[in-house]
Amino acid sequence: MSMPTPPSLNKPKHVSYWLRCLKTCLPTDYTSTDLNRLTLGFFTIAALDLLGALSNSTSLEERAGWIDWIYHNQLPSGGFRGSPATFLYGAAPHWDPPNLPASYFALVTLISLGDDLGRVEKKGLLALLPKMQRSDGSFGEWLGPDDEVVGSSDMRFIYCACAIRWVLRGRNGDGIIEGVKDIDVDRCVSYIASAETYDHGISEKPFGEAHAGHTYCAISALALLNRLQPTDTGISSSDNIVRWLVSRQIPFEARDGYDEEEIEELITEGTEETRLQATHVEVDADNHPLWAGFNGRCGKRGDTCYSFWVGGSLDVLKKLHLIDVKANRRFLLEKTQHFIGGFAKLPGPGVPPDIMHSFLGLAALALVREEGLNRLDAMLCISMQAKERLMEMDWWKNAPVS
Amino acid sequence: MSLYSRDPEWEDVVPLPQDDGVHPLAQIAYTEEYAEAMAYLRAVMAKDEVSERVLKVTEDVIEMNPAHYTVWLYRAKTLFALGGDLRKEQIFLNEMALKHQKNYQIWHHRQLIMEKIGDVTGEAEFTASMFEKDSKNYHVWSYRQWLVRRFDLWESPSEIEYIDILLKKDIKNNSAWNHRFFVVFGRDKDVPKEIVDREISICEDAIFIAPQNPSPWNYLRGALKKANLPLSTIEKTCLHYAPLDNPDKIKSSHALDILADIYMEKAEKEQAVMALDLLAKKYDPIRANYWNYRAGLIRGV
Repeated sequence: MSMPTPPSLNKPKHVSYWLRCLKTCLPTDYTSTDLNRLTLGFFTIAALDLLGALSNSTSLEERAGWIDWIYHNQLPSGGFRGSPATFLYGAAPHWDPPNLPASYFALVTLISLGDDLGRVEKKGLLALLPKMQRSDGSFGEWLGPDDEVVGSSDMRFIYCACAIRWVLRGRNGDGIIEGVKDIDVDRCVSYIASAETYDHGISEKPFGEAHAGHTYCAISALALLNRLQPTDTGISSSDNIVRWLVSRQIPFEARDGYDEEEIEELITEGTEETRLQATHVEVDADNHPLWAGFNGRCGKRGDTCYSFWVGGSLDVLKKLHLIDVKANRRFLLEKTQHFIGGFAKLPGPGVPPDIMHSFLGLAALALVREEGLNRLDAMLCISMQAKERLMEMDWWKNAPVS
Repeated sequence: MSLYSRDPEWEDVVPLPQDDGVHPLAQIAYTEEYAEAMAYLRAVMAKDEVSERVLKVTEDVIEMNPAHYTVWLYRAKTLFALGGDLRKEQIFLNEMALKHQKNYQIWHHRQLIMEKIGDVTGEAEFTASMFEKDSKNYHVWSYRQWLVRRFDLWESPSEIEYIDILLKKDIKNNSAWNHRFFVVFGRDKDVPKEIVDREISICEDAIFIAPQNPSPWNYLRGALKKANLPLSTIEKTCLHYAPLDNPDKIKSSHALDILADIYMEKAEKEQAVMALDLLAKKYDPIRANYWNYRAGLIRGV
């Protein structure tokens, strides 16, 4: 009798997947992410950093070149554009605006590449943050003509603003940058609290549906602001949120001979009995499912990225040990890890890997200390080494920023 | 195929190519059409041009990349400056939204347009056609909430009726449950007792159909809290689906979970621990670590 192969991370395949993303053109399908090139760049660099492959698979010259490219996307008055696509050779600067997520991703990619942020327009970028904050405490995505705050109000931009503030102002946020107006922290915290839902996840805004991506951004933003402890004006209590988070873990359901469409129909229109007949969950001797990933909202399917959004939230709350680590790990390694490297969004044949899910799959595994991966700081979403490098930089520790 | 460089309407425009720098990250294999349209878009944006052809090139770029962020605002500003046909814009947005289900910008732009039009006619029908494709589309639900707030549709009977239709189709549609909570409890005023009772009984009906569906259980917790009622209000319902004295008949882990909280409310620790143990061992073992952690907190108290 042959023993089943234990699940493992196919590290060489992941490294080659990411080196391909790094050194050759991404397929045309990525056109819809063209305005988020700095985000894609972050995923690529941070993935190789987690795999420990940055310094041995790329040269110092290459890394210096990528660092220059990121600075090439810095705006003269501070902040970064989302992509070279908006660069207008200096004309109509209001149509080549700073973008909040891009500014966050630029900083963390630079740190991951070993840069000291010496060329970052720190004052300019920090001064942008209060300009991009709305009166309800939320932040916009970018600053439009006449300083109009543009973009939806949701947790993603709050997170980016808080992370930029933490990186540039230091962990207490107090004062190493003199004369630069700070964001309104209280309003930001109360916006987050107002988006806590009746089932105690966090939504994009008051009365929206709880969503694990927004929850991660909200929890991490509070941690970056040192405001994770419940207060009268803050989120209710971490117990409530932990319950919502752990409830996101769901067993992988094998589909007994039905195709995807038939299953969807059975799930939405069938009774519990017909559904149970069509699918089954494999369990071990203790009745624990063998494979169990996470969904991002109540009643949705398991998806690679939510292993990170939920796992990261729980890690920030110091409660990651409450999930079924083993079943989550097996879900990622045996159900969504792709044979060419990277991770697919969903299990099943014919789902190709993509950059976002490939990074978040690795990040989720790094949280639970997968062998062969560097450890991840859940709050900043970069490797522990990268974060420590930042914290050791003289200007971060004590020097006033010029 | 070149659309712009041979078009006489564009012959006065010098396209601005993309400056990608020397060592770019995340380069994308653009199609020729996309690269060209983007170069002409940059050229008109650089001059802040306001013209009919701006509407054309922005439409072209949006078709190929609806997640381009500055192009939408540029288009809106141009459209408003030219006094363009907003109903026509709405039809364009319908097509784009149906084609690109997971896009944020389309909905933001739609809000700008609808704000100007100021008339909500047709929006319920259009969002319903989006829900036909995906009844849990986050952007569309978010937009539907905006419509309710902006056009004061709180009392509109069609809003609750529509939720009933969606829940009848899929009782597990948590997005529809959430929208219900928003419509019923989303205003800064007290909800009358008869409405709270109605909501509790709707949840109980839904639980009867599918006791393991978490949505109505969560809704119950939320409704009770809004009405300042203790969880023990639904103790009987919970015991019906999770008779602690007859564990083999337990049909819902969610009922057990709420029972544990009810017994904590009543300071009956042993009963609470019993419910949590049943969850860990038999009825929700995937979360065994969590249930054991909660039982541990009680034992340690």
